[in-house]
Amino acid sequence: MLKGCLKGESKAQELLYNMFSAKMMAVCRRYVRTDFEAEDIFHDAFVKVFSNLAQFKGEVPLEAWIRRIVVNTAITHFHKFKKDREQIDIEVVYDDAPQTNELIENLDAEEIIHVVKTLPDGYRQVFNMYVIEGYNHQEIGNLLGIAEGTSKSQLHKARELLKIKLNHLFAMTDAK
Amino acid sequence: MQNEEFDDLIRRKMQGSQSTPPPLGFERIRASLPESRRRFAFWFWVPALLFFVSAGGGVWLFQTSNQLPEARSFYRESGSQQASIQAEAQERNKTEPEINVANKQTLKEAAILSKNISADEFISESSAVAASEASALRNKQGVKTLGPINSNPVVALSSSNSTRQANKIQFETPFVKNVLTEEVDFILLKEGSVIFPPHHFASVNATLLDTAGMTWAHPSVEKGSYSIQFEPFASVKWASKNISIQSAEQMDVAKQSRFSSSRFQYEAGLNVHKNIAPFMRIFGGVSVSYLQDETSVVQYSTISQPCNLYQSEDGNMHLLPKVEAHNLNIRYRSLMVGGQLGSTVQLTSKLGVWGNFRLHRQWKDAEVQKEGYVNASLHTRWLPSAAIGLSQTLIVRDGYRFSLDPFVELYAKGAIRVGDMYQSKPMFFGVRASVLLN
Repeated sequence: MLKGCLKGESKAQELLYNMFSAKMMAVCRRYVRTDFEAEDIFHDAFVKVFSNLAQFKGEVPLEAWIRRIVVNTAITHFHKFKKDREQIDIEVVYDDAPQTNELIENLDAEEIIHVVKTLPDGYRQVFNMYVIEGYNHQEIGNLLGIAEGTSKSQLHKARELLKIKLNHLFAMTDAK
Repeated sequence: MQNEEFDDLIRRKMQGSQSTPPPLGFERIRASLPESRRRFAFWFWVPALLFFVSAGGGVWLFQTSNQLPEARSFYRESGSQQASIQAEAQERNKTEPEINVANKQTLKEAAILSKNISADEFISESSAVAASEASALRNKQGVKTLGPINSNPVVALSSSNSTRQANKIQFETPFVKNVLTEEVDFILLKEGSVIFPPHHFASVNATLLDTAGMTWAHPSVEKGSYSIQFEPFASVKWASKNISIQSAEQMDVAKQSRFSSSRFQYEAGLNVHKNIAPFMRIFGGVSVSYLQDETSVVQYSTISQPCNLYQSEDGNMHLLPKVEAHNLNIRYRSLMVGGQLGSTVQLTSKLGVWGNFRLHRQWKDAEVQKEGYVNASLHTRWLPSAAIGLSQTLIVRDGYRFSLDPFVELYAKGAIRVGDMYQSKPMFFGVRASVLLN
């Protein structure tokens, strides 16, 4: 498949696309608020994947390599449109953060993605990169152009805010 | 809950998550890949090359096919030559009083007009009478004989003098591809007795046309670039033009002439398109058109009644009363290759062969034409759109004549389309107004 992709064969490219597109689309959606933005990132990321496939040396699994491209593309997108974004500063109230993991167990991935998408941009980027993708704070700081301490702070706030939002969602679902 | 626990839980939940990718995502990605762009560039430059080659070739053919430089030279020299020409004509008048064709024709035509006979009768009579003397004159002066002319209204004038080859200037309005075309640079009547200098011409053409149609592709044959489209269409076209001619001093029939014509053409047909490669397709089809042509008004100061200037087969010039022509064309066509730049600009070049079976007025003069066709145009596809194009049509009519009709076309277009022009589409319709400058 990779050889076919390197030769520019359409069928091989389509095979690779079909193999990873759904997972990568989910990644894209986590990083932005709207599906339109997610589709843009998805498109740009896959163009990069096909264009730079020759650089893939097999040192990491292909999925991880593609995922890294997708995340980097999302970060680029974030920087590109950072000025246009509304700067939201949310004072998080920590007191009523839920203390149980049963709540999350009862939610499916789509519901969690939906809640993650509602986080402020900075929180969302750091949370996704640290929790889901496994970057450390130094890497996050370098990629996002922020201090390591800021990354830690934003992660902490993101976690707490997410807990509140999940709790709220769970309460609403429970009430129904 | 500890942070690590929370993170693990979220990570575990999210790791297997999937979302539906956007529709046509792969196609869009593939179209954005560099190699696809290279392919696009290739298919873009193929028609682009055709465009420039056909445009350049058309200009070259046109420049070599007409004899404008010679004519201008003749016109520049005409001051000195007119004297000898007129002296020669006077000498001929002395020995052969009836040979002054222009005067004779004028008198004859005035008489015929007063008798109110038909144009055809006039042509027949005039041709029969004038044939022998005109032929003798041409042989004497080395005039090239014009082939039979299209019975569409044509004003074709020939001229010569004793030392030069004939200049054939055609003034023609073929209704091919919705255009009015002219090859008017100057007019020389026989023996240089009348000269219409180039700078005394002014012409304005306008073409309005409506096109409506529907295109669909059968689902069984619609797949990517291999779709086949069926395109039935109908159109009503109207064209009109006016030309003012300011004659030269030597003109002995008139001081000012005006020519105008208007036409209606109704056409319906079916085209079948097949995409053979990205941005390239072939198409062919059959259409039937009915052309109604009304041509009128060449006013000469010596004749009060509006009439046309017409050249019969023997090369003589005639003044005709208003003509109504009715043509029925059955046309098959063609091969087209086209290119598209982005979604808003389109470069199109057409190469093809057209065939015409044409029934002329009074339905008794059937004619079969074969026409080579080269066309190139560049226009935008905004809706509504503005466009500018350069086209030329090379028409070779078997056995009759070679005609190259260059024109620059400026037009504005409004259309509503569903789907892409080069893809299957359920329907389209539009209105287009054209102003042709040539």
